[in-house]
Amino acid sequence: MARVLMDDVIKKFGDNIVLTNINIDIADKEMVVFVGPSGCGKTTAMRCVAGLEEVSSGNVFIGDRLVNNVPPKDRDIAMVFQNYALYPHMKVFDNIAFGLRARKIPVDPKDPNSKLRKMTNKEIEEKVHEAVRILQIENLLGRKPSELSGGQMQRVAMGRAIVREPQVFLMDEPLSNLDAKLRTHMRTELRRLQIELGVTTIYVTHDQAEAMTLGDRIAVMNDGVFQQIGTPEVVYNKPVNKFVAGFIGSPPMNFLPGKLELREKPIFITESVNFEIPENLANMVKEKAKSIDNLILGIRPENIEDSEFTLKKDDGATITAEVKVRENHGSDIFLNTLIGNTTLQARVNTGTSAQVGKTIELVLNFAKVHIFDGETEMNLIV
Amino acid sequence: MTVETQSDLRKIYQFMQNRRNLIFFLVLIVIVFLSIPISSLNTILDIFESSTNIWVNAFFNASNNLETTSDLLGYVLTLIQGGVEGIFNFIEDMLSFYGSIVENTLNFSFNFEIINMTGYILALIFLITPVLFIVLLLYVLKKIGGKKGQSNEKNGDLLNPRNIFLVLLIIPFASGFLWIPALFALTLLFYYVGLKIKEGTDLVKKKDLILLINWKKAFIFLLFTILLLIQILQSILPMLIEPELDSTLLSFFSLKSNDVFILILMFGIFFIFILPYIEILYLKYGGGMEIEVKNILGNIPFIFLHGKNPKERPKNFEFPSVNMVITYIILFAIIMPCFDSIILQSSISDILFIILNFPWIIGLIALDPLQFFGLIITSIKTSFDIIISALRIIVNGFIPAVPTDTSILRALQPFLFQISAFFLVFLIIYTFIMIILSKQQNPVKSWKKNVKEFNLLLLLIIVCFIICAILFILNPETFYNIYGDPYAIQTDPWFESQPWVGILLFVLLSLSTIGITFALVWIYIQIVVKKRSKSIIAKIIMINALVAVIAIIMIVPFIWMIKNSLQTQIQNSAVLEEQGFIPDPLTLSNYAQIFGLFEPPYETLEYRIVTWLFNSLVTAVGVTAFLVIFSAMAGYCLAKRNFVGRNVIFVITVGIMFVPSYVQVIPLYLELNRLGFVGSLLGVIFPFLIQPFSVFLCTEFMRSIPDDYLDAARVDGYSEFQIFWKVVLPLSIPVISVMTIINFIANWNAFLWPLLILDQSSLAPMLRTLPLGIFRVNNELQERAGVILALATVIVIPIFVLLFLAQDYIKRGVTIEGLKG
Repeated sequence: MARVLMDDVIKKFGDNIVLTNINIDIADKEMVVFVGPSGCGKTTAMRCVAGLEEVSSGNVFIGDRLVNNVPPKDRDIAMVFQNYALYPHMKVFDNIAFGLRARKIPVDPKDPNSKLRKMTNKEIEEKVHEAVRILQIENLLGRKPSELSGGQMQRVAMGRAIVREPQVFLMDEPLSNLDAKLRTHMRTELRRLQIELGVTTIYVTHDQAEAMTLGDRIAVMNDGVFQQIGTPEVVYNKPVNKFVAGFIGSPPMNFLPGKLELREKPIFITESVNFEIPENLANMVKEKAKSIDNLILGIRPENIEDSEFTLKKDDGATITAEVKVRENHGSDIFLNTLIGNTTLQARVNTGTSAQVGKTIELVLNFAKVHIFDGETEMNLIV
Repeated sequence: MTVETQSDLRKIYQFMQNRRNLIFFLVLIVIVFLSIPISSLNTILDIFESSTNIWVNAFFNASNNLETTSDLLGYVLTLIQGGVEGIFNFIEDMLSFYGSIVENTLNFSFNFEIINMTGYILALIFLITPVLFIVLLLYVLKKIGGKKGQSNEKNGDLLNPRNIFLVLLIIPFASGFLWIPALFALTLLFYYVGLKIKEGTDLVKKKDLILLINWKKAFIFLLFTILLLIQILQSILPMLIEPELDSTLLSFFSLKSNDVFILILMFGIFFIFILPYIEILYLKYGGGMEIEVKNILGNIPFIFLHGKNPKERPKNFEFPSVNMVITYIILFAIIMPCFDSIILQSSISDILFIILNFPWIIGLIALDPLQFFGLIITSIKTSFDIIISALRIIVNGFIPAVPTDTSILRALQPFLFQISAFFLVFLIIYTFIMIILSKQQNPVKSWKKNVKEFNLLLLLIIVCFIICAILFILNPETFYNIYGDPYAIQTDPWFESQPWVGILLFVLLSLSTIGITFALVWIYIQIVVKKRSKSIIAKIIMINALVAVIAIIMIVPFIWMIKNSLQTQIQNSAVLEEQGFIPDPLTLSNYAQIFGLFEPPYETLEYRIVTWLFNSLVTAVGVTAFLVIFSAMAGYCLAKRNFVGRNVIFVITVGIMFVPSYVQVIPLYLELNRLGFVGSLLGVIFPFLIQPFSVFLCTEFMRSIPDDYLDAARVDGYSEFQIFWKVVLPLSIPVISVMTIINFIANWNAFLWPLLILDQSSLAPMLRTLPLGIFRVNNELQERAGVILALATVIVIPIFVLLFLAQDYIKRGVTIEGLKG
């Protein structure tokens, strides 16, 4: 078990800079999720840790060891791939044992510097059986990958990783090939396994829900830069910028561009609607913003509620909107509403009387609102 | 035993323990060098002598020069010049020496060591075949005995594989080779003594001792024992085959001094191997050495102890798998004779020479690189020719030319026959026991469960039966008894004297034909008609009928060929009906003639088909094997590795594909002629080792393999070559099989290039491939078309077999093959 440290890592493909100043310190036994839209460089960052890509500059440490020039096989890592990379010509047993067959262990287990030898078939068999016992796939050992379902293949791929007892797990979108229900199930399983084994894990995904549920910490990435690294709560509640705010959370945050006018009560003016906003909020914005004429107001759908069901009604934040789409999710109802030219997503109580084509009164909870600088897109309320 | 002698013994023992690897290595070298024939040793001595001469010559020249001029450069130059001249002379001498070897071996007159290889191999096979059979038997027993020991016990202790194997072990050797079982038995004895002692003693455990005997070393030891035996047998074997030849006791013990020395060394090694057991005995009677007994017992190296006391083995110990043992045996069988005649007499002496004269060789490269290259190529070619001609002689020895001939097959026939028959009987009994056992238990369930096993058994029985039958028929005496004189043209057919046979045959044939036809049509209709509209049914039937008609048109010539190859008189009728489909009179004499089972009465059949078959196999298999490996390697690099100029190389590869092969004939011929490859099989193999189309095919296929497979293996710790070997190659089996088939067929049928290269020199009759052979004997055998047709059948068979075996792969590869069009 070990911590992983990426120190000012830069990766270029030719002149194209893919990763810029990547800094992250992953503690022992921690699970960190790299999340971001496709093409943002999260997989490349992980491959740098794996050693499958060389870093252009900067350092990567696994444990206390600088591994920049260490080949992947000596980094003591195990990787789970998106398509599982199970060899179709081998049975499940051989697939899981594949990594062990290339491995050499010291003759004397107490002395790590003694002569190396290959593992015997018996030892390999023991380890494989141990791994499949943990994953509960004992009955699959004799099958070929083509005879497995998606979830089974996923487990076998996990088995191949855990059988090696590595210091670090690297998982590259391991659940993206599964159907939605199975994905949720495997997500829980994966987390349980990670806690049980206590292995430092880097998990790459583009699915923010996976990131939120799995990670001890989330590293949100865009354009080869870590936008924010923090616990799911922090990233969700205090996003540092507009990108993070928009990426994390489903359905995404509503963004309303506009400007702040300081009258007796501060008013946020957008294209189609004006809000009175609390004074402390306005003061914070005034201090930090480059110009109060170019701002973006962000509010999550769950902070917009049908006025019938809000306990504390605030006149300044009540707006009237026309319902365009009504999505019933069972536990909630999502409303896609229109105010002037602005669309607003709202998550309202299931008891709502909202009808498509009719208007509805909505209450915005300003305690949870975010205001971003229009130019830098940084969050002004942190 | 006094205390002093004890400590002395102990010192010696400890020294041997500490230096056991070194001792083993030294003994190995001594054994290997002692088993080299004197003439080979002379060759090596010659090399040493002439190397010394070259050095002396060079320095002598240089020192002469030094007296006249003090110029350092001039000194160095003359030094190099002297060395290079010497080397030139030597290599030329050497090549002419090789040339004489080649010529003489090819003309069967030169009594070179290679000739003895036939006897050598004969002896080796004679010994290894029973071992292989027994290993096979063990394997089969383990397979059908159940999985992992559980059902093994269920099926009864009687059929414990180990028990049967131990019993069987004695049978094949009972005829006279008591050496090997004696050694086995000795080891067994020690093993059981060790067991006894272990039960009686309570030792302090200590780990740093006894990694002495592991199975690999023991295996090598055993094989060397066999080698020794072979050397002894070489003098005994002819006597065994022809007892009336010389069966005095003196010839029985006519050992060379080398053999005696090796014998002593063998026992020395054997002593080292059994030392730990002696150590146990020593301990038993008052010693002080501390050993972990478990280790010793676990390390007992012989395969037949496989099932014994698994708990007592050390944790990290593994017995060799059956596959591994077989591989080792085969490797050894191949390497040892090669070591003697091929390596020592040709290329390794060159390498030795180069090492001894390295500075002069560098000078030679610098002064005249082209000539050096030429010399290297010529020496490679000569080495290849020596190997091939030696192997050809061996292969010719496989099939007896005359009934009294002492060929390998003749020597082995009774033995193989016994073993196969024994195995067959055993399998049949075993099947019955299995049936009885399975009925005693839950009959329905176990029957279903055992269907696969029974199928396997059935297959094995059939294979055994076929082997028995072939061996029986190939025995010239039985052949003669069954078919009469194969060279007499049968004018009095056997059928005519037995009219009832003809009637019976006719009735049976017609009935079965009608029955099968009706059955097929019925099944076919059942399949087609099922819930389909009439137009679809009509369409399906039309298409299938068309296919059937084409298939019949295609197959009729083959049937005609096979039919006429089974009779001596060919009806020259254009109408097929008049000829009939049953050979009349039926005879195998055509095949007997082409295989030269008996002394051929035709002087014109100068060299036998075995030679042509061998040449064809060497060229086709050689080209295909290397082509496939090289293409796969090149394809992997072009598809998956990043390097500068990759695309350029790929484009060039594709570009070369557009150059017609007939354009290349003349320049290629001229070039090969310049290198001296004309008149050698290497001339047919060498130019086709890499072909752009195959490289292109591999590249395109391997591009479709996901990179994740390679990355996963990389993370797991596999090297680039291992990734290629263990991941990429198995994943590319479809393309490789297609490549293999295309190239094998092309090279097997190749005519033009072999005609140009092989049919020119005085050695031509020896070098012909099968198509070339047919072409040449065609004129000579005009009146015996049956023989030619039999030849043609024989040529077609390998390709049929290949196509039959690789059917699935061909279907899978059709899409890839489509690229070729």
